[in-house]
Amino acid sequence: MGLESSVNTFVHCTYTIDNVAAVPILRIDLSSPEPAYRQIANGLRAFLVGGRVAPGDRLPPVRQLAVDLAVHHNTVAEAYRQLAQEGWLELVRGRGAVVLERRRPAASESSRREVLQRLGELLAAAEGEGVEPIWLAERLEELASEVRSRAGTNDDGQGMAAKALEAE
Amino acid sequence: MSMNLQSLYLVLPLLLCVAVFWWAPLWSRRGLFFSVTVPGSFRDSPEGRAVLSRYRRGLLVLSLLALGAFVGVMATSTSLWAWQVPYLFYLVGACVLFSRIRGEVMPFQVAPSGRREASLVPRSASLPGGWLGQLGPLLVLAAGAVALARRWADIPNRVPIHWGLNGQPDAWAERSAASVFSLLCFGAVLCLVLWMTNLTIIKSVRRVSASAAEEERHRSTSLAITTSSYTLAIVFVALSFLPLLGQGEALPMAIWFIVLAFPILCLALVIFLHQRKLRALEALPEAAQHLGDGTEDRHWKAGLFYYNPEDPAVVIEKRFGIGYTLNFAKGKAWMFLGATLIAPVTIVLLLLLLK
Repeated sequence: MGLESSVNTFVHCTYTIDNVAAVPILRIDLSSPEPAYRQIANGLRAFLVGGRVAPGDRLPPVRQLAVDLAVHHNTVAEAYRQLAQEGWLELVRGRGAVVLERRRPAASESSRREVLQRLGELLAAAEGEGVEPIWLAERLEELASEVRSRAGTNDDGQGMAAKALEAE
Repeated sequence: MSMNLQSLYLVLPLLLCVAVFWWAPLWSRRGLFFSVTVPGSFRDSPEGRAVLSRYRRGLLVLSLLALGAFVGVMATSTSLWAWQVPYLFYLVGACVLFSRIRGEVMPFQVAPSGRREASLVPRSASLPGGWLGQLGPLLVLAAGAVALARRWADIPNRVPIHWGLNGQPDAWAERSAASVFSLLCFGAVLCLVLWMTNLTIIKSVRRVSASAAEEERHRSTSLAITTSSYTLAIVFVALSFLPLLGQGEALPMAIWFIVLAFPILCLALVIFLHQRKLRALEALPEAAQHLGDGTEDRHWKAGLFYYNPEDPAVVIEKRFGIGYTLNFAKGKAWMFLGATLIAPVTIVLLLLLLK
């Protein structure tokens, strides 16, 4: 994953305060080299992991999301299917997608290694593009604090794993 | 009705067209100018102002020529068809002018933004007033039909079914179920078309921005359409009751007033609400991301007709002026167009049959 797409995922998934009410807003960039379905899946996953879209909530129908994002129905359907396979969503014919209560699966050693490798590549790409190391460190600390608070509130024995990963 | 009022009724739409075309370039989103994607600040730049000034000068000349043609027609012809000539001249001229000015904006064109956003909250499908509120115009028409049926014996043997611009009937039919209830049926078809339009705006039109101002903008248009539907229903019931009112068959001034003033009031209301929400939208911090209108210039044929098979949207916002247009690459768009044409075609056919 390139720096731009990773940053986009965070930028596009901010919980935007409107002039009336706060609603979760999914943002994608069709000019990005990252496929639209992956941007949609990544964006939705960020909301799901952060708990901003809670179990039992309904996501917009495929058609509505496709029209608003100006992408083909299949693009949104593919993102929903991917998240359903990961256990985040239940796709019900006629009712759209419903967010499920999902127990975090145990991460394998290889997936931990992959995460570290991707993080390393991302940081290298960021520094390569001139992002100041101090700025990077501050953002990483913010993200780590967010992850830590989630691990604290939703700890099913894996909070330690997150800490270990952080320490590593 | 006096000749002056009749002339006013005929010339008023032309004056409305002049006013609408005069302001239309400023009603679109900031990143769009004459249907071309431009930088958000272009409209206020010296080049943007010069283009707008040239457009308005051209429009002024065109309007004066159309008004001249109008006066000429008034002096030489009484045929209703001849009155259409100034309108046709004006519309063709306005299209040519738009195309020329669009060509002048093209050198300032920029690539449209690829950024898109969508709310993750399923959209509410509730229409203004709920189902009962939407059903209201049809209930008004149904109540009119029941009242007419109850006074069947009082209805004269000959009933007017069409009125000329002088307010006098110019077509009659023998008293029958078809002639007495035809106006109510036309009204019902028109109200159904408006209901269908409303449903499409609320459920299927793209929300370019996920903000509440964007949603409210579309809902205010829907509210104006619902109000029009009620007014139409009341006018059609009033027309159906004319033979029973004992005041002759000429149209009362109140109906003329509604027919003349209501479209103007509705248009003014839509423009006011639309612009208020659009300005609110532009004031949001997210507006800095220049979302555009979610479409690309290459899919706008002549800047007016949208054709994009890849876009799932069937109904989308116009790029010039206010309102919606169809994605003509979609079969559903043609079906929608056919359905909206049913009302006028039915009216003409039934009038011919009843005559």
